[in-house]
Amino acid sequence: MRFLLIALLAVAINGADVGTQTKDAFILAHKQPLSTYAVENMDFVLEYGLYNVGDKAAQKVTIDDRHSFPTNSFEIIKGLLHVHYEKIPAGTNVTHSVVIRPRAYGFFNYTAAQVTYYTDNENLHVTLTNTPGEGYIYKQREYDRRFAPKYGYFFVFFLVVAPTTLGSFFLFQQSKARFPNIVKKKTA
Amino acid sequence: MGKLTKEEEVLLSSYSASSSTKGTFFFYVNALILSVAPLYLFYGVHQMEVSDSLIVWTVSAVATAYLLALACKNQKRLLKHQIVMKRGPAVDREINAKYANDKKMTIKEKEERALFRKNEVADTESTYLSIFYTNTLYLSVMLGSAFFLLANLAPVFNLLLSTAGSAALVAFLSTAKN
Repeated sequence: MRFLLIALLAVAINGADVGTQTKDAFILAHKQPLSTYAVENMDFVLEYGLYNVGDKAAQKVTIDDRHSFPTNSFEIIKGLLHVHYEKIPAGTNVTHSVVIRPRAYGFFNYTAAQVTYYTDNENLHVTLTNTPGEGYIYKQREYDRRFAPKYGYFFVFFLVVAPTTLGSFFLFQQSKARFPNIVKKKTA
Repeated sequence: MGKLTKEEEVLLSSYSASSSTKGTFFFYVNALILSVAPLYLFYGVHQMEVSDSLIVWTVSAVATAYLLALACKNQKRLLKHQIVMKRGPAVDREINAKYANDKKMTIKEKEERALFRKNEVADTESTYLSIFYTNTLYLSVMLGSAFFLLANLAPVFNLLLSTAGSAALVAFLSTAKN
């Protein structure tokens, strides 16, 4: 009885494994920002990842994200928004990153990138990455006010406070010097 | 009530707690500067927005200015007497040197002038020293609490506690009897 149960379990596991296995190439793709904050006129790094979870190599893989970042709102600093890989073998992954620079501030909807690949030489597959969603692009000034060093504020503060504080001290010293302490000597 | 003579007025003023108008004006200007300047720090460093925090800022500025001016006045009263004692001999010597050749002046008149001058010197010196003392004490307590002790508190409470609170502490310390 116990042996039968173990045998059944083995069959079930094997069956499940077979059921989830894909005989073809199968690509999962993600798109995610690596920079914590998007700021106008500052670099913003994005990463794309492709994972071939299938059993065969994917051929002629392309990532196309040109529609997400129109050039009137974004400047492409480094990297390509349209890349091509001849082959991604089974069980491997590829990451690709791009540096862009927003030209304006405000809310922006980051949409999905499109990934296309061939499983043999004729079956074209089209898939999408995840969508990072709506993000806020900071104004340069807002960002600086929040994150830039605050030494300037302290400097101005001390400049404002110094005249009365130090000024009164110097005036006191001056007056003190004018009327020095006279030690009375007792002459016998 | 008989009218006070000039000497009596001088004598009175040298022992009175009230300070000269010039000194009081200086106290209020100083208190105003010291109560408004921290608001700039809270605007810049603790990210308080002008439009959102106008009321809190006004409350803080008024309370701080009042308490600091009070502290300066109290402190001055404490210092003035000490300074009169310290500067006395030097002022006497100055007056004696000044009127050494004036044969017409009586000793009593010279003493009166010396007393008047002592009062004057002690008044200005104690004004300056009390401002310096109050300012440094207030600034160190305020900066220490605003940026170290209460740095993680919500900005509004941080502002009120560290400005008005420090000013209250300074005012309290200035009420010492000796």
